[in-house]
Amino acid sequence: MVRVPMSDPTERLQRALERLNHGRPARRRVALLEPFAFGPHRVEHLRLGNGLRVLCLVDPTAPVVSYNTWFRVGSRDEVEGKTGLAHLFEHLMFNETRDLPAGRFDQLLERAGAETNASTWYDWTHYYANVPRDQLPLVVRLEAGRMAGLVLREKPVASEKEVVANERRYSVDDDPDGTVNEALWANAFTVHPYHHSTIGWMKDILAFTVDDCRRFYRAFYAPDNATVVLSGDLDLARAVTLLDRHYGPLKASGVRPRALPEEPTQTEERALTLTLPTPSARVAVGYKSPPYGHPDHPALTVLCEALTGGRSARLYHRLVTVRELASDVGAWASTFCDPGLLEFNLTARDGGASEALLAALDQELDGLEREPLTADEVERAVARIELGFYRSLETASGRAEIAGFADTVAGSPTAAWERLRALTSITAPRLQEAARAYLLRERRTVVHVRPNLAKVAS
Amino acid sequence: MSPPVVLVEHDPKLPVVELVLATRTGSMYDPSGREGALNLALKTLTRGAGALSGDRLEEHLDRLGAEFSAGAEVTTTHIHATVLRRNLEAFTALLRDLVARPLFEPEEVSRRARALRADIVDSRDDDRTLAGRHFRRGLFRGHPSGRPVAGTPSTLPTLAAVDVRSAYTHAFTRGNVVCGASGAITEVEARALFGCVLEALPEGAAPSGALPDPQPLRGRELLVVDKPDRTQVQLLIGCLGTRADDPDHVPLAVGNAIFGGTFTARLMREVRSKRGWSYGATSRLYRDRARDAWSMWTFPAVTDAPACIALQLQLLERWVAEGITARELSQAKQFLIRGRAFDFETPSRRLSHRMDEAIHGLPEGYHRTYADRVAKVTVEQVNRAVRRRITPRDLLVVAVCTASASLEALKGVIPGLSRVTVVPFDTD
Repeated sequence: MVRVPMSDPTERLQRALERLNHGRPARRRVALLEPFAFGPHRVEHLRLGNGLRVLCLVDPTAPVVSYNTWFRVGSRDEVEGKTGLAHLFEHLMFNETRDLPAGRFDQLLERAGAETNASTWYDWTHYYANVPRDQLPLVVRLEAGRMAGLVLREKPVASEKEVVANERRYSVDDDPDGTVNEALWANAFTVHPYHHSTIGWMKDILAFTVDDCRRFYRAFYAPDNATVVLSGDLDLARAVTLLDRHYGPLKASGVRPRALPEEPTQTEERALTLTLPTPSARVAVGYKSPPYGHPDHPALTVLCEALTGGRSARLYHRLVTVRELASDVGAWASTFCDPGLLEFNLTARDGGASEALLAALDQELDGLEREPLTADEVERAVARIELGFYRSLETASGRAEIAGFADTVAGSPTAAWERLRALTSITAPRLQEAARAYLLRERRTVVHVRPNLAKVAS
Repeated sequence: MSPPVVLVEHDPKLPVVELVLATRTGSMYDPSGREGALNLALKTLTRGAGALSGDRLEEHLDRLGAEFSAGAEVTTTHIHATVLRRNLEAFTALLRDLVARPLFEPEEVSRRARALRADIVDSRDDDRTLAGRHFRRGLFRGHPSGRPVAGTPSTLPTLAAVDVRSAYTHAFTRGNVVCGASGAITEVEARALFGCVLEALPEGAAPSGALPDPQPLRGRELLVVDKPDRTQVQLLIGCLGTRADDPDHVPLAVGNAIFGGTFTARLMREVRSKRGWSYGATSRLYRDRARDAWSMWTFPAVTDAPACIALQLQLLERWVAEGITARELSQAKQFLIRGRAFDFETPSRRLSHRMDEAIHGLPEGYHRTYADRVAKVTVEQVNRAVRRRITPRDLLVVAVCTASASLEALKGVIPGLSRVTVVPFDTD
């Protein structure tokens, strides 16, 4: 834990908490915990008696506040036959509550000038509302209201299922990249819930009942399964008083992380071919990779960047610019709580075949042994990563998201900056070790995409 | 010669500097049959400048932690760079070469043209992009706003180094460039940096940049972009909107917010919230120096598409005929006015507004005072602007779908169709 100096606002916060907690039983007290360092900022860390974790980052540069709620529930918490429920729920959370009729939640936030949205992935569900600073009381009231007071009825659930089915058609069924990605993870994982995509299988989406939704809500939407992150032009003492007023009375659910089945070690390459109405062949390759918090993860992140991140990155330069085999190459080490995939995605040019792309990729990855990435290539990758990190901190919303993500996936907002330090100190030999340890053919899954030429011919 | 325009938003909080050079003209000057020349020039900049080959230049950019992008629009171009502050000095020399001493070697121009051609082919995988491309071409037929800024798979291979150099030299003259800097850079530093870049550019004033307004459509047209195996129909329905300097522009923007610009707007409420027919249901008013577009976007399932179009047309006709209510206006105003806080949150956003004013010929402070103008808009002004500018009888409907599955049903729900066209999705 990094020691952070005390500031005047924190002293005022302490006094406010003393008043707030005076005469209360322990289960209703708000605890001020050790703050986190977040680069040049300090993140106040509090916990309400019902388990709600609160992180506050004060930055008065602009008169706005970003209000984020991270629930520690995602598609990892779903079971076969009920896939897509976490994501459907993200949609349902904008509906009726005990205090507000349907549609009123959005109306009030729009009237406040808010930018609001949400996202769901394997490990979490994230809601945000960016508001002018004077609208903070409204957001706190609305967010607390829907954390415990959502009303689920037949008709809106049916309508929202249709919306999600349409979202799936748009982002998966009619989108070759979405189709490929879903197939890659479904084949790479056999027992772990990363097997199914967050949006869920269509048959499951259409089959959800209101009771499914109610059960899910009771199990996962509670203060002890959430972290609220506030960033921006805040009066700490006032903000915490508001949070206590609206969230303090909510009951904890006692939710515990579910023990997930461990994915067995993959021992041989898996491959499949999809035939799609697309003009270009593609190949997606996923190597089993460690979780976000693993010490090897930063090396794999730099490896991806050094291979595909900039115009001078090795794979991009050789396969796109020089050999003109691919129109695009990309790589990404998944940032999940559990082991995931180190993905490569390549799109062919000029009628090229996916097999040729894969052969070229293999040639380059195998070649890392005799032609390791140089210190210069690593330096370039790190400089790009560093720039990207700082740019993500430009807005109050960006800072809240970085802090909240690091806290949710790695246990603390400080992890974001610790990770930057780890990324910027990666050496070429360290990358070589990581490549050797994870780029293993027997632990990879390959999806080929063959264009259905009969259908796409003009 | 007037002094160069250099706009600066200083904020040293993050160790990052953003630099922008934009011109007041764009692809509108690409010669006929040479569409894409200016955009190709900008995309070729990193493939060699000054004494550096393309490979060395791109390595150097990455080493400095610099993001560099450039591209053309119809009436503007931009060169946009972001760099770590500690590398600004080294980057300045590089930027000068990139902007003022590009090599445009024939083999590099051809290489980039082939890459852009491949990008266009790949973009056909994205139905929304396809819909947008065909919508603009159909709505602005015969007008520069409808010409393909990035060229087409047919024009790109014909573009030679001489075309590219000519397009670039015409646009990037000292008098036609507006410079902007934001982040960890002072005004003095920015002026010195851009002075060094601009002094290497040729003299030349801004070309007029004047664009005639496009001709409105007559009647309703359905353009089906035929693509196999679609489970949805990507729909763009619209007509001409307003010029940037049109007095109707702000009232129409407010009216658009009410019709389809927010999550609680009429379109979203009726199409998504009540019926679940489309994940997105929004409308948008575009702005440029010539009269630009207004459109609504949805993507219903094949089975819901006919009913969805019929509903959208009803909503549109009602909006134009009956107008908006005072209550709707009040809600939209609060959203638009309070939400402006985010438009000025970062130095980059502040710079972007000032650059927009400079390159689009808007009055200085246009964005800072936008909320004041919204506050003054009345119900009558909105209704008048909507009636004058939105034309439900003269509409373009673009549908990306499988024609054999959807065409007849779509035709059946659009009364007054004057023209129906079907084009394969992989045509130019």
